[in-house]
Amino acid sequence: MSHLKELEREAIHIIREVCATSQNPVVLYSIGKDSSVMLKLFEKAFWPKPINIPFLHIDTGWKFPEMYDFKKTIEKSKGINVITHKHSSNLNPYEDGRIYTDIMKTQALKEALDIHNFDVAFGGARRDEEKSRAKERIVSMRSKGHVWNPKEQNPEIPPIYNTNIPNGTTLRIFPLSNWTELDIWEYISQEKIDIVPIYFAHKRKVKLNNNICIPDENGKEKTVRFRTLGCYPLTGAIKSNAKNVLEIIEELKNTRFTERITRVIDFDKESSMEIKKREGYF
Amino acid sequence: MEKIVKILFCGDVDSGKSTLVGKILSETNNIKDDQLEDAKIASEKYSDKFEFAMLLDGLMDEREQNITIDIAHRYMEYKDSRIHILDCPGHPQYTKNMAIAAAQAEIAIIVIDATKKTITAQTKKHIDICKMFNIQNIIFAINKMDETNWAKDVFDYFEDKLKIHSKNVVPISALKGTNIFANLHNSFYDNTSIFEYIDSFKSNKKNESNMFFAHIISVSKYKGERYYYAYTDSFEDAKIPNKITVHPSNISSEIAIESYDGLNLVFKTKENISINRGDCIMEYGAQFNTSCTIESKTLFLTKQNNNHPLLLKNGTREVAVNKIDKDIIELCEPITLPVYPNPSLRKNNMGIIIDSITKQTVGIALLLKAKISENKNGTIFWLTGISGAGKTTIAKEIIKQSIIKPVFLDADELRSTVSSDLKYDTDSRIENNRRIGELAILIATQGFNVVVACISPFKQIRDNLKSRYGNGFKEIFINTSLETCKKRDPKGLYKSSKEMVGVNLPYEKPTTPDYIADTENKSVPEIAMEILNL
Repeated sequence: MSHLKELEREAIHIIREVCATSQNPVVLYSIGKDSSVMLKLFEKAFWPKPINIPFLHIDTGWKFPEMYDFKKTIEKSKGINVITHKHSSNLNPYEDGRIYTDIMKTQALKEALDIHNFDVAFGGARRDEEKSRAKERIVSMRSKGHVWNPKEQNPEIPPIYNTNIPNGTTLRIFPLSNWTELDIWEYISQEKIDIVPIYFAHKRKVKLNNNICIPDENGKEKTVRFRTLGCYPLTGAIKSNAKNVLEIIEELKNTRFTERITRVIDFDKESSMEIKKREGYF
Repeated sequence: MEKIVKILFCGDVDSGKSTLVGKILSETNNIKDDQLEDAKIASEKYSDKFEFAMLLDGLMDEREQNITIDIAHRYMEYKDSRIHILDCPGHPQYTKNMAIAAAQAEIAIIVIDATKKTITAQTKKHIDICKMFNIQNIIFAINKMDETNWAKDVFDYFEDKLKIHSKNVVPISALKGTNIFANLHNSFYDNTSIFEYIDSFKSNKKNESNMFFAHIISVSKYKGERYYYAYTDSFEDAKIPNKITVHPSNISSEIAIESYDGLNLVFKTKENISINRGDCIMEYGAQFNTSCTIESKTLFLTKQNNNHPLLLKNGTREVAVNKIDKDIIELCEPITLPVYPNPSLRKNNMGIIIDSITKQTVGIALLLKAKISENKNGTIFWLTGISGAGKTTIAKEIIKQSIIKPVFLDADELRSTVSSDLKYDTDSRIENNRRIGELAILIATQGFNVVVACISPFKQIRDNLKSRYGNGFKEIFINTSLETCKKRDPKGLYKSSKEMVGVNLPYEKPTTPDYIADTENKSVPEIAMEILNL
């Protein structure tokens, strides 16, 4: 009995149980590796039926071109309904600094959830990603305004989940809570899941900042890969020669850093993720 | 890798629990450089020394107050398995979060400060909670032994006090890493380390029941077929049966498994029966109890509002709660729990208590047993239909299939005994039916099941019995056509008698029977089995 099997079946159960009790669920789809794993798990959870709930992509307009290409391919090949929502203010990460993330990601997400009246949003977040996420429930309540209150979390004893939704609140559901980054890659390898090609080593012009390779047209060409995918240029790459999934798994077994170091937004404050979550970031 | 092992770590404030967990994670290379850097920065900000707790206490409030408020979930690879660490708060105010961990952990490590030379009230509470949830494997880590200069008498004191709860008591120094992974044999203690105990638990073959039990999540129609999605609440070795009984409705059917991964189940049924979300399924013939009265242990985790009605969620079923006492939950609708042949092999049956107004989870409950009330009435199976329909044959088959033999009231027999004074006019027929009905109720209220075979042509009389005796009165309509009955005519009555019910005397068909027996298309054993499943 492999632990991946156990993680997979836990996730499938969460998806089925929550879909059975919610009125209008949606899956947050970021195009990244965790989203690709989520898509696979939803296919398995709905089997033999096709997935019949929408996916939601919060677009900033600043994703990598390879991500947009990948999204088109997936929509076509998987036949899923991907709703794309973009905030009207069209800020850009160069000039608008911290409010860029707040407006284009947090506010845009809240706006999209409200417009479509989604009562439940599935996300691919994992507890090993970040210290405040390690404290979050699998079924996580958001009060009015999509606010997370870490001190008022429901007692949770898997596999029983309280999926009741009090008036004015919505739920975030994290089926991958107990997965690690390495689990994600081993599952991608096991299930042969397609991912955006820039997760693999490629040549790119970058500027070095604390060993993180920030994409920069005026930088030097290096062989790099992305460990996480977000907005250009807020996502850093790492130096790597890993050309396939197995090589990525080997690389991760020896890494000294978590994947969060490649996210520029996380480093402006000691507990910036918790603050963002309290503000409504998923 | 093998299965995931959930281990909870708890301890009173300042027992050194965070130091132990931090040490375990860093020694096994599960703390990355950037996480260590982050903990160093936080330690500088909130303390005067490096705090291992900063590796785990990830919330702003936790860091500011330097206490653990909620469970931190951490994962580590250890030998061939994945360990899921549930790092629990020690502070009495947040005991509820420790209890959540105890409700799901397989192993508990309770850290105790040796220098305090006493078992604190909070530690006692932790022990009680671990035992309430039947955690079989408890390890007591007597920490800070280095500060006592490894005083044997200090350890002996704790071992003596704790041995009634668990024989696994280990003297350690979390800070120095002594006796965590290996015993270095450099003190009086020459025995098992914490992780050696963990290894021994894993290699022990666990006591598990192979009884199958599952909850229905949803029902979906696809390409004209009905698919049932369920999850199992039994141990891994439990085999999915070919034939199941649905509870609490107690209907049975053969099933076809479409997919099963050890937890999640998709199946179809052979018979067209009604199964809904909230139902549970067990192997046909497996022992169960269905009741509104549940023996249980309930732990309230937040202050409840006394005016708010409560719900119990067990599996996928949410039921309104009538009353919760210390050891009993009274429900407004029944739930079904399996009856394990050997209670020590049982699986914990858990439930959550939900405030029906705020929808928040206010408590957790360990459901031990669905209690059958002692003055339980028997069931009356009232078989009605015209002469030759097959009432007596079916009645005898019901008796044959019953585990506890029911009492049989055959109208033909009673005619020549109890009712030998009666004639065959309408009033006499009514009186005859009345006597049989009274007899059936008299016997059933003493706890016996009763099978009645009686033409009973008058709807009014049957309805009257049903309204008096309630759900326990099952009206079974033996629906055989007059042509077939005439053909069968076992007593030769259709040929010899002038007045026959269904021919020239009225037979008032039941309008809402509990079961219609189709004797022309189904076998007698099949019909009897379906009646017993009502």
